[in-house]
Amino acid sequence: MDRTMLEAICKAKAAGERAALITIVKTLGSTPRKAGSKMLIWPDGRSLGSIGGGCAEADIKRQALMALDSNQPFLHRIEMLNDVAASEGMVCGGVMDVFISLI
Amino acid sequence: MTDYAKMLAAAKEGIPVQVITLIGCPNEFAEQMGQTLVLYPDGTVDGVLIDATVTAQVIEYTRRVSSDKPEVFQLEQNSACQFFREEYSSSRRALVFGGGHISLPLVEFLSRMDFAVTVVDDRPEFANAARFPWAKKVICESFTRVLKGDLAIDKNTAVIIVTRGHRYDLDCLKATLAQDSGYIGMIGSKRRTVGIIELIREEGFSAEAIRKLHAPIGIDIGAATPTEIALSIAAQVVGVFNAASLASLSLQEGC
Repeated sequence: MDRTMLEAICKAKAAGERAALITIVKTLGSTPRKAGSKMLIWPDGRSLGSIGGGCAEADIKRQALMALDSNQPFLHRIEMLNDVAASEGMVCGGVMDVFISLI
Repeated sequence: MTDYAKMLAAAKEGIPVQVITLIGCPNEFAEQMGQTLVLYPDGTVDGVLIDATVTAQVIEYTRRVSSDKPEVFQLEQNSACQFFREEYSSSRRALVFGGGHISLPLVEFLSRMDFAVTVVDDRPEFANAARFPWAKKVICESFTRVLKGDLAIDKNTAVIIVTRGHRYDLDCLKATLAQDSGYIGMIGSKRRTVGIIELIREEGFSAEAIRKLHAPIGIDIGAATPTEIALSIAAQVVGVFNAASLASLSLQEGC
């Protein structure tokens, strides 16, 4: 976790904001970012940091909003191997496990 | 709930912190998902994972098995739960001597890459916080005086010497070269660099210390403008901190 992220989390908490913290915990194959990369997503859709961009990030934003709605952290797998991913130009071809926690 | 404020305070002090998160467990423990355990190097522990027994097992695991990369692990005693372990190590710092045209983009580049940057210059019109909104700290003071103080240079500090004059560059170099920095670089032409290296060798600096010096500073991208030079320096600093080859990644020969 980098310091900018920690500072943003502290600031959000001090302001009483809710947000989901996404962490890549494991990757298989070729992925744009590796384990430990983080992204913070607020309920209004704002975000900070990146776990790789593109469709993976669009998917993860949806998952983050689900976690915020249900108030339940969970592990989520993003596969960049299938046809949809290929047709969307997600060319890395790997799998990432991300953990979605709530700050 | 994780005490992020405490972790941030540790990060600012350069104290490495290990964080273990419960990322997988049977449904009965759904409420515990996301719990974290924060381990400080002095042995202090914050937080609980499931219960005291599991927490103790996790602590025992982290002390027995070391890892230099973030990893997912399970306990032998309890394979139903998955934990994620990561370390927040000491933050990177950069000490930039000189607040001129190169420093301006350089400070922004380095800050964007999570370096806490300190800029030093003796000219108020160059050394001020308004000119360097990205800097953590701007010191407007004579180089001599700043160099006499404690610069807190360590393995996580990059020292970048880009003052307006050779004389100041040399003063900064002499005061910092022997210290255990993560990177040290100095601007200058090839010809002048040869002269300076000769000079500091005569002054008794060790061959090892001199070998560490990146001078002339930067990697070869044919940089001409201040921003291009700043990019060349920033790329070198990051490459050295990441212990990378600094070579092109292209698969084709000659690229």
